[in-house]
Amino acid sequence: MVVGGEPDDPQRFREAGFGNLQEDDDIAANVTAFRERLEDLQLAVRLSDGEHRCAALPEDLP
Amino acid sequence: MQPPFKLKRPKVKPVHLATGVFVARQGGFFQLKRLNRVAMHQLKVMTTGQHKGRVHPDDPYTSEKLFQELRDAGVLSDRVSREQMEIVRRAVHQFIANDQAAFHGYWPHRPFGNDYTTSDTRLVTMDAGHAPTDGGLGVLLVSALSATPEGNKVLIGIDSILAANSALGDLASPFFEEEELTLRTVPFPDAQELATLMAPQTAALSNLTARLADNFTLETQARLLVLGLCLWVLTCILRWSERACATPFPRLLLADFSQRPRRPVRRASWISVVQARRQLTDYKVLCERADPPESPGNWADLFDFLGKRAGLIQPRSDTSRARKYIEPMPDTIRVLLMSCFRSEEHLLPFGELRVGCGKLGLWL
Repeated sequence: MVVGGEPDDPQRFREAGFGNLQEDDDIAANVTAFRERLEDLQLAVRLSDGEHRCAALPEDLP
Repeated sequence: MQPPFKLKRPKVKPVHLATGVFVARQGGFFQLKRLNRVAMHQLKVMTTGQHKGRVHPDDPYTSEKLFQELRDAGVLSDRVSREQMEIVRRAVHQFIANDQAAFHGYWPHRPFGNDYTTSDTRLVTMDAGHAPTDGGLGVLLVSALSATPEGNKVLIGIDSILAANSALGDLASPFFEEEELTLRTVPFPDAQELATLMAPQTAALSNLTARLADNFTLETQARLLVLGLCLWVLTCILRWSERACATPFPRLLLADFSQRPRRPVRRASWISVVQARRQLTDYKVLCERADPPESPGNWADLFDFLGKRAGLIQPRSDTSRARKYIEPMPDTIRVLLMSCFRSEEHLLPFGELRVGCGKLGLWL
């Protein structure tokens, strides 16, 4: 399964024939939506340094 | 070229897969005829034979017959009336048939397999005279997992879930009969090759198993592990078919989290599902044209059917005319995430999360 978060994902998408996905409008927005979904599920959090961290379990989050 | 297994039916639900894995792991199942008679308390008319249209006069599922059976077997004390027994039957039914998927499975009714939605080894059952509802996938999984150390950790996790007595099993236990395990063992010849191909996914399953232990109730552990097994199967058929067809790039399943049906990402996600199905169809054609011809079964339909029920493909409805796309449901996301974390890891930067292709490639 791919979300689009890897640097070479746009190239991979082109090779896979996924058409005209724009890096900012489409791929980056999808990654952001995924991150927000993880936050909703309490599986990710944004730390004070601006970094997002993910946890396998909600209780592992700081 | 030769398929690692021949899928006997494509409409495999997660509960079927669970039963198949449990049966393959323990080498058989219990028939639980008396429990079936207790749980299925509604009268059922015959649909064929000379008693068609009415209740069979000797039907052991009827209240009177069952009351006598339980009395004779010493299961009911003299203080329990038939009306009280019926209350117990309804209670047992509510638990055993909680998903409306339990049936009159024995004489005089037509044989029908029951997959009780539970992970208790005492309640693992299927129809002895019928092809397994898992289409043969349980044997495939257990054989492939048993071929590697990481896979064996998963099997040990499955064993521990099976061995723990559930409240449902305790409730049903007075209605167990003395019975031997009905053996069902099917040899699987090509496990090592498949185990090698699926090593990353098996490692992910092992991560999942380790993370589940002690962090969830038994039932939740079982449910999430079965989801993981479903994802393993979906990946397995894609990877195997890609290799056989010499597909230049691995098929990607693009997950759309945008919630916006008209955006290009949704269309691309839909295309990724179409491509995956086409890949599986191509493999089927390849097998059928081989010499001698082989028939792997309908892997494309399995991908669609199981993918929806594993919370990976949307919309879930079989009758929906909407285009299918990838959007993992919350429990599926949890399973994917837990599979990414090795035992010593607790927090990962978002950029290092590996839930997808390439670096995110534990699963696919």
